[in-house]
Amino acid sequence: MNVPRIKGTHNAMRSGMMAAEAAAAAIAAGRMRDELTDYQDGYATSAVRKELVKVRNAKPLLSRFGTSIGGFLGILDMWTTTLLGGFSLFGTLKHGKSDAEATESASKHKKIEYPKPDGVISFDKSSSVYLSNTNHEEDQPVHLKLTDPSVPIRVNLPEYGEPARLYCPVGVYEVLYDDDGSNPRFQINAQNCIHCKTCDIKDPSQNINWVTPEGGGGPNYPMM
Amino acid sequence: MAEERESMEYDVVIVGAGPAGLSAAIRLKQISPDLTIAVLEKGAEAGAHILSGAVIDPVALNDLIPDWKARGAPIETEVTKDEYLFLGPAGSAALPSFLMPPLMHNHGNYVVSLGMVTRWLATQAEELGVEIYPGFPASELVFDESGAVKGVVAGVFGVARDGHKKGDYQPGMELHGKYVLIAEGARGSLAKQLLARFDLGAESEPQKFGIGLKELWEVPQERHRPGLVQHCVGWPLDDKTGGGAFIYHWGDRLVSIGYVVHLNYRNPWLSPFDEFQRFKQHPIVRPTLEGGKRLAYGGRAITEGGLQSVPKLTFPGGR
Repeated sequence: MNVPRIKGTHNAMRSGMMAAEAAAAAIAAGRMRDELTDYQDGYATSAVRKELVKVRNAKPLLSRFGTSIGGFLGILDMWTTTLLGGFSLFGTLKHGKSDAEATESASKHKKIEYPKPDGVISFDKSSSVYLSNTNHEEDQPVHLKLTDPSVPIRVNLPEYGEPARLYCPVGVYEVLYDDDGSNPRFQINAQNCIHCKTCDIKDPSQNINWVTPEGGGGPNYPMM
Repeated sequence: MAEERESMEYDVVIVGAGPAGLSAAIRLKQISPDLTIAVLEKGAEAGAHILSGAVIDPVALNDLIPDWKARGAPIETEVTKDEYLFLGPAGSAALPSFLMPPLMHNHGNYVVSLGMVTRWLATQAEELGVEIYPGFPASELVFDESGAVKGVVAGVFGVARDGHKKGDYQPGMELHGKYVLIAEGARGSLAKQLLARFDLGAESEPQKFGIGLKELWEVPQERHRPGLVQHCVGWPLDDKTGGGAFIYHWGDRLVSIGYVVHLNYRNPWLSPFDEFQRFKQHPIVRPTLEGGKRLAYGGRAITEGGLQSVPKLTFPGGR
């Protein structure tokens, strides 16, 4: 995706078309199951790559300098790459850490108090899940697999406040307690999942593996 | 243990009936109409799992299906006004569009439902003879003796929560291809296995992501400005947390409104969902939605790593 432009569909389509062209040529030449090196080589000179070159520093600048200064530098940098054939004063900045690694300890941050939804403009998660039309056969293996089932309560809860409860946009993950507030347990409401894959990406312990559930499960978006 | 399964042979097997997978299928058939192509899709229909803003640049579609207008593509609302706003808690400042490099302009782009565009692309592919299997997630990769990807397993049904096989159990099928194209979208589950197995990310930076949340609203006629495209940064996120909002007016009194939070945020107490809900209360946003009705909600991770994070794109047996 081109981050500052928030557009990726045209590049997804272009890469699909490029892969198709490489595969069709290989099959016509009687090849099969080798590497489609033409596709890899084609990418190097493609419109997709040319576009990504121009905006390559926009996201790293935001990550380093924040929205105001990083955004300003990003605009400046895109002018430079546009006018100077891809040249940037910054060269090519690195992203550094993965998103999971970027998560800091809960004790270093203040808890955020969010306003209660008014039910008119803002809503809670459960009424929102309903509008995603998501559904899964309940009697099937949980498709959000924990590599180590003890990690959410043993590591994530004390260290990060188990952020799965917050980053999951449909409330799949909950920490349940006894009435006296003891005995925390991790619960996965897999049937609510909308296949966004955020947990697989953001879990600081990289302990959640999203696998495909039974066919037909997941959201049913009409016009999204 | 590998299970005995029936197998079917295709020239090309494509995982994912999204814009990439369907464009690949259509292009293959355009080049070589005799090729046999199977496209597997985990959603109940093509487009059911597609969620996007979306303002699309038709450049790729112009190339793939130049007469898309005549073929009834659901791409109708042209962008008429493009606004960039920096929000504070109570006010906003517009960034003049002449400051934006040309690549940022939305002239000639369209506000669409990408889900509807995908459904339409699926009909175009089927007309060319592509076989699309909705409701059939590719759950496993299949390798040949040399270690190349030979195909995928799809359509395993009837396993109970505790793992035992229920009465209606189906072992699924193996779909074999001369080439297998993986087009699952951001953080695909098979792509994740391929990245690890063939070390495809060895030369690139880690992939970066955002979470995009979106609602579709029907708003009162007098609030609707078809073709208006607004992008906002700033409040309610703090300056160290990347992200922003989009508001797109399109169709018949429809407004697509959404929020993206970059997933490299540091504060584990942050809730992207609640940031989005709070954003809608901003005085510049709320009036658009007031008196309207929320029709749909959803979310999807998006890739944000760009150039630096593009992994090696091919592996033995596909891409």
